[in-house]
Amino acid sequence: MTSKYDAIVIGAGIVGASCAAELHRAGLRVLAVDAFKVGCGTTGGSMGHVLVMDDSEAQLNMTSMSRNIWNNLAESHSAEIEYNPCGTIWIAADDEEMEAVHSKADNYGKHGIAVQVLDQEGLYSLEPNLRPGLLGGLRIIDDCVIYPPYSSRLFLEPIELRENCRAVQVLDHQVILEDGTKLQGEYIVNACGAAAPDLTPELPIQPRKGHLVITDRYPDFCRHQLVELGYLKSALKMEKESVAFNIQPRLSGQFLVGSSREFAGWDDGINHSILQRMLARACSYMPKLRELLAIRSWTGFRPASPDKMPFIGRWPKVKGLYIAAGHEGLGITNSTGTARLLADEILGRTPSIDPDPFRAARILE
Amino acid sequence: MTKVVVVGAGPAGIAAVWRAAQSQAQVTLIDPHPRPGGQIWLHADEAAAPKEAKPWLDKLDRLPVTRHFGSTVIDILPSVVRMQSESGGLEYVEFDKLILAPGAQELFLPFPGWTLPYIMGAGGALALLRGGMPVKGLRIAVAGSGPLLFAVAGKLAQAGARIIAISEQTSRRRLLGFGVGTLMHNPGKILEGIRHARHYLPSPFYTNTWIKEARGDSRVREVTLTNGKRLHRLKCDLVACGFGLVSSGALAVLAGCDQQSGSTVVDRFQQTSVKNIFCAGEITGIGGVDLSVIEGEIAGLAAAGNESEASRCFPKLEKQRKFARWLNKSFALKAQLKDMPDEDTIICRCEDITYGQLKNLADQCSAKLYTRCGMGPCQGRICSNALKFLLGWDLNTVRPPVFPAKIGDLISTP
Ligand SMILES: Cc1cc2nc3c(=O)[nH]c(=O)nc-3n(C[C@H](O)[C@H](O)[C@H](O)COP(=O)(O)OP(=O)(O)OC[C@H]3O[C@@H](n4cnc5c(N)ncnc54)[C@H](O)[C@@H]3O)c2cc1C
Ligand SMILES: Cc1cc2nc3c(=O)[nH]c(=O)nc-3n(C[C@H](O)[C@H](O)[C@H](O)COP(=O)(O)OP(=O)(O)OC[C@H]3O[C@@H](n4cnc5c(N)ncnc54)[C@H](O)[C@@H]3O)c2cc1C
Repeated sequence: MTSKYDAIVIGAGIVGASCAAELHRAGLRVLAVDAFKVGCGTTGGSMGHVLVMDDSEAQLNMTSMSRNIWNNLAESHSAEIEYNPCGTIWIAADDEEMEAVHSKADNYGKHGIAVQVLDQEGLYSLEPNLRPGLLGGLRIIDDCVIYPPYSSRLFLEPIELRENCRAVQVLDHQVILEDGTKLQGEYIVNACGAAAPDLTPELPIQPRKGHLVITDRYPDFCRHQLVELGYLKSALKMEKESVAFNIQPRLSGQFLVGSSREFAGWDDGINHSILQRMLARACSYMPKLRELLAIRSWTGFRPASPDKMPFIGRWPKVKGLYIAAGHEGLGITNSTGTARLLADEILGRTPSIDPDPFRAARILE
Repeated sequence: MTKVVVVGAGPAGIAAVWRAAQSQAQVTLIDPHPRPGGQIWLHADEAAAPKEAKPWLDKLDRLPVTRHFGSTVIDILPSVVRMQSESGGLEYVEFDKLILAPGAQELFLPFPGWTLPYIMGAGGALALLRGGMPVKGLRIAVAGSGPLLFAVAGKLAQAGARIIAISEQTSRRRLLGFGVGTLMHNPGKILEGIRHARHYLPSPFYTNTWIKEARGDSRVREVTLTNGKRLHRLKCDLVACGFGLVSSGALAVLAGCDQQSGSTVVDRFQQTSVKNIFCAGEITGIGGVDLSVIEGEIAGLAAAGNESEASRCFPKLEKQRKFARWLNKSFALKAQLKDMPDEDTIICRCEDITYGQLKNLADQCSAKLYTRCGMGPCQGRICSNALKFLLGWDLNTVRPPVFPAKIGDLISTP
């Protein structure tokens, strides 16, 4: 069998789906394969918050390019991706965090990201269910929420797809499947998320487990994605375990409550102590959450890289192999920008943003 | 002393409690209802307890057992169960051995119009009746399958309803066979049935017949029955339907116990594939109250370490199992029932998902990812059973809490 594709994308999570769509749009003949099914990995269990983060210049460039692509997509496909332009509010609980609000506002402003500094009154008028005594917040106006499994399916609609199809090895311009089938492709993309090292063992990606809880429907309980500014400390430090307040309104009237981070291998069971800490943290910010019914909890694995940056681009050790993996807690957001950058490289286009901080091969140097 | 925790105070749970306590275990019993009894022995007040239940309820009264009525188990951890207690808070109960006896739930199969008001599960209708719903003079169609239909029709008729149809999907031949078989294996059951008979016998009775559709406005007004060829259109005020029972497996799945054909797998001593966890009653398969009691006895004895006594129950167990197999064969659901829903029939009521959106998907996981079917507040408790029958999809993974719980309760610690 010598079916030959221009590009074979391994892994149909949001990142693989987005890359496949971008390459297809550029005219390539693309095949996507997934060991299970579209969006059933980390993508299926995530929050779908699309946000601009400013913790480094590179991250800001990547997230803002990505968010723009999402917002543009929503103009034509709002329903298909369950788009909710709710914006983000970063919440300041003390003077130090309020200072951060101001310096971040400056920084975002400089990069043309629309923000609004909220004083105490402004915060409570937008989100009356927050606990009293908070100092204010930073509203990132154009951040949004999407539903990742639907979006992944949308991306893959025009693309040849094989589900229940596991890749076991990547050789020069070739993918070997579990059943022995060999697929030829000029470009091979490893987009296996936290499992990417199975095919490319040198990739230092680790599963970083997170818990989420979904509530019953309580329309209007909260209207923006709310995140404590302390989140940055928890997300960016590589501590063994951490929790932070993060709540998201869904269009259904339900709420997703997060977030936790821990390194616990691939054990997907609920860690009750961390779940309790996470919920207690959330209730400390929104005491009325205590009265809401939780209907389900689950876990997912963020594909964590040591320097918090994803690996995007050519992998010099195998001819034709490219990596698009390691997006930690920003893979939904950055899936679109990742696809853009990857396609820039494959097609020899001028890179949309500075690709250097994301280069996959950095780890080999 | 061995700490035995029994979840569910139906016949199986009560029998387990009795036998475990008798064998010197320290026993705790948990059930969401204010009183013991489960599906069949539950009573609104002392006087209303059915006669057969009396000796068991009396036994239970006299036992030195810790009771948590009004409490629901929502999660199982190694050697602790978490329950939402009557007071609303979350409580933890430690166990050495756990006996799960949560019974079964009614299988409801969707048909066009089933979401109209006054269409309900047969068991649900009984519960409402028990709760004082007035049915006098109402025209009621009872449809579905299984011996329960007669019990339901009988009770509704007794309360003054006009039963305009009892519609049983199985064939007349199988039904007669079941009668004869029951007489041979279990004559007591027939007497039970006959006791209600004078109430429902005058009702029009259809075999080989199921619901094609229901119509109405603010409530159901009309139901159409079919045998695949002919249609019977009947004016009615209420439809009670149930297609038999399916095991309530959520707790066992959560605990990691092996499942087979929709029930939890147990060995001769009712021990599941998970150490220290036993199951008894209809969670292991549908077989009626007598089988549940014996399984409960065996589980109670075995959990308390009294295996020799438990093995004395084996002959009785075998007899009841035989009856259960006969029962399940007689009322096996026809393949034609899979055609009951049409494209626009809602399957998942929580998320408003139609059959058309689901029928071409591969499995439950796809349904969740791409339609959110089964992800609403009921957690698929209703639709997942229907989909198992309609499309052959297996029970999805169960995530705690098994029943919705207040976030404030989830953060309380032991
Ligand atoms: C609790 C939680 C909340 C999150 N919230 C957000 C958020 O709000 N916003 C945000 O931007 N990000 C969020 N994230 C992060 C985001 O979910 C991930 O970064 C993103 O889903 C990664 O996507 P992926 O496509 O790389 O991986 P995956 O979704 O895991 O996809 C990888 C796919 O590859 C397949 N695969 C694996 N191995 C093979 C193989 N050998 N052969 C074939 N196929 C294979 C898998 O089956 C899978 O479908 C969150 C993560 C978690 C855990
Ligand atoms: C209307 C009707 C008529 C019937 N007639 C007959 C008959 O004539 N003859 C016959 O043999 N059988 C009959 N049956 C069947 C009989 O009811 C069952 O066989 C029997 O009740 C099964 O016993 P069980 O203990 O396994 O479960 P159940 O009686 O269902 O008891 C289970 C208990 O566990 C509780 N529970 C469930 N989940 C949890 C949880 N998470 N935490 C705590 N508690 C929980 C439930 O609330 C319930 O109280 C009838 C059933 C019905 C509904």
